[in-house]
Order: sequence, then structure tokens, then C-alpha cells
Amino acid sequence: MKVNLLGYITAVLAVLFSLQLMLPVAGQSAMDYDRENTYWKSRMEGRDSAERKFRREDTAKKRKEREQAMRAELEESTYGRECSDCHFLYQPWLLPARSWERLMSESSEHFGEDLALDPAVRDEITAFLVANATEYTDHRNKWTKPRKKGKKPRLLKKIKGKTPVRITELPYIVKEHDELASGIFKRPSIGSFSNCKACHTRADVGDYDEDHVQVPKR
Amino acid sequence: MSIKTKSMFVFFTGLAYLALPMAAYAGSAPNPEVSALIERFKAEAAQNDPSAGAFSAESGKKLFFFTRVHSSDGKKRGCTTCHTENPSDAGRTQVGKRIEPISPAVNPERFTNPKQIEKWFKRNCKWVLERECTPVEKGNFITYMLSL
Repeated sequence: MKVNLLGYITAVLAVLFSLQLMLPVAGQSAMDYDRENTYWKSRMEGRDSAERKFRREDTAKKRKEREQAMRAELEESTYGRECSDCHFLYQPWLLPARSWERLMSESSEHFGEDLALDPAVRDEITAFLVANATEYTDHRNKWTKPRKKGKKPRLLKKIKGKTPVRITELPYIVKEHDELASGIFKRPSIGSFSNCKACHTRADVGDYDEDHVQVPKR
Repeated sequence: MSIKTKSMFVFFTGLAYLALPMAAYAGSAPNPEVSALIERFKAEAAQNDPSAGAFSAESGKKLFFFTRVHSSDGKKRGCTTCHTENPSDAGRTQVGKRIEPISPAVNPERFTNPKQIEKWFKRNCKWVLERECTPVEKGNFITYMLSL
């Protein structure tokens, strides 16, 4: 009996020990970690340490400054100057690059309107929109920050290779709004589904978080 | 007459003389760039029709209130669709964004930048008339706006 218990404990310890060795799986063997004595170091400053450090040191003040800078960059770009006369400045990360390319190539038929853009201006706008498209930017906190490689943008969920030119046709956007009755968008102060900032009070700084949604009563 | 009252008299008559031509103009005077643009429209108009006279604010007003059924959606379109029937009022774009008043009398930024003027003529004439505006139409329109 005694012998069995000892054997049991040893086995459990052995399993735990081997599990612990398997923890740092980042393509290196446990031996390497042991030799370089980097095991704890690697656990403290993992692959996402920059991200964590950023979050730790991020303050409300810094966030606000960043938002203002982002908004200024958007408004002062050629895209901002040319397009804001007519509509809300949709952040470039709201569509994939291929959608922006299609939209801009059809600029003489922009939802029924000929934008009559100078070719040079049109190319400049396209370049800006494509460079900041959803594949290349992490819009969650800061759309100017490069997206981590290999991470699929949530806005492209279920898109199935389509190239929608309307943000409101992205399956993800449609799904996020499916609990709303379509009559809501017909309220005079909202007008249409494409009027983001009627309900998203912080849409102008690119914050579409549910916490800041206020649906107008009429 | 003391020197003080005399100098005041000279000062106020001077002011009156300065104000006189401004009152006669009634409206806002175009800056040199816009004057050059109007001259260009005038030259282009004369090229098309040598008998064309000066631009008329009355014709410009007619153009502003003109509406026309568009071929794409069968709805009436005109300048007033977005700019409202009163040039001094703020308008709304098709997607609901505010348009600052078009009248230079209440919005001094209007009709000061030839590039902007040409851009919006090009875009909006196509939206309303499905063609670009003629130099005569553009000249009349600016003349009307500056007369407000």
C-alpha cells in the first residue's frame, strides 16, 4: 500500500514536471530554455510584451491625445479634405483594400454621382485608403498601428472573397446590427444605416464600442 | 472753425467718399483670382457667341432655382435640392451632412477660391443637368451669388 502511494505521487510529480517543461512551446525545446536560463524571462516578456507594456502604460490622457492625432490625420489628409464636404469620414479600416480600390476606380459613378476627381487626387486618396485598410491596421485601439501578421480582421468575417463597396454590406457589420429593427434607421435624426455617428457618439474618433452607442428616440 | 472740427470734417467726408463706391456695388466684390476666373468665362463665352453680352444676375438666379428630372431616378433635381431655396440658409447633402450657406453675403468664404468654384460647378452641374455648365451659365451664376 505504502509503496503504491509513493509510486503514485512520483508519477504525478513527474507528469507535472514534464508539463512545466512543455510550457514554453515557442519552437524551442525545454533544453534550450534551460541552458540559456531564459525560461522565466521568456514568460515575463513573452512575444506580446510590447503590446502588454503599451497597455500598462496607456492612460486616458494618452488615449485622448492619440484619438485627436488620428482624427487630425484623417481630416487633414487629401481624403479628408476632398470627401468630408459631402459625407462622414469613414475610417479607412472600415473596408478591405480591394473594396477601396474598387470604390475609387468607380469614382465617376460614386453611388450615382460623378465625383469628377482629378486623376492625381484620386490616386492619392486611393493610396491613403488602401494603406490604412482593415488588413493593415489594428483598429481596436489605434488604427495607425500595424496589424499583427496572420491575424484575420474581424470586419472580414464571412466575407467569402466578396468586394463590397458599402461598409453596411460587410457581413460582420450586418450581423452586429441585426438586433435592431430596420425602422430605427428611418428615424429622421438617423436617416440611413450609413449614418454611423447618429448613434455611435464617438464614431469621429473611430470608437464604435457598444458602450458609446446612443440611439436617438426619433 | 477750429483745427479739431476741421480735421474731423475732412476725416468724415473722406470716410463717406470711401463708402460711396462700396454702397453702389451692393453685394460682395470678387477677389482678384475670382475676377480673373469671371474674365476667363467671359472670354470663353465670347468665343462661342461673339454677340453675348455681360453676365446677368437674373439669369443666374433662374439657374439656381431651375429643377430638372434626372434620368437615373426620375426625381427632380436642382441647386435648391441641397442648398435650399434660400442661399443664405445652410443646406444638407444627400447623405445628410450640413452644407454651409452658399451666399457670400453670409458666408464670406464662398466664391473666393477658383479651384473650389470649378470643382463644384463640374460636380454639381453633372448632378443636376447631366452635363457640364457652359461658361455663360457659370458666369451668370457667380454674378447672381455676388449680387446677394
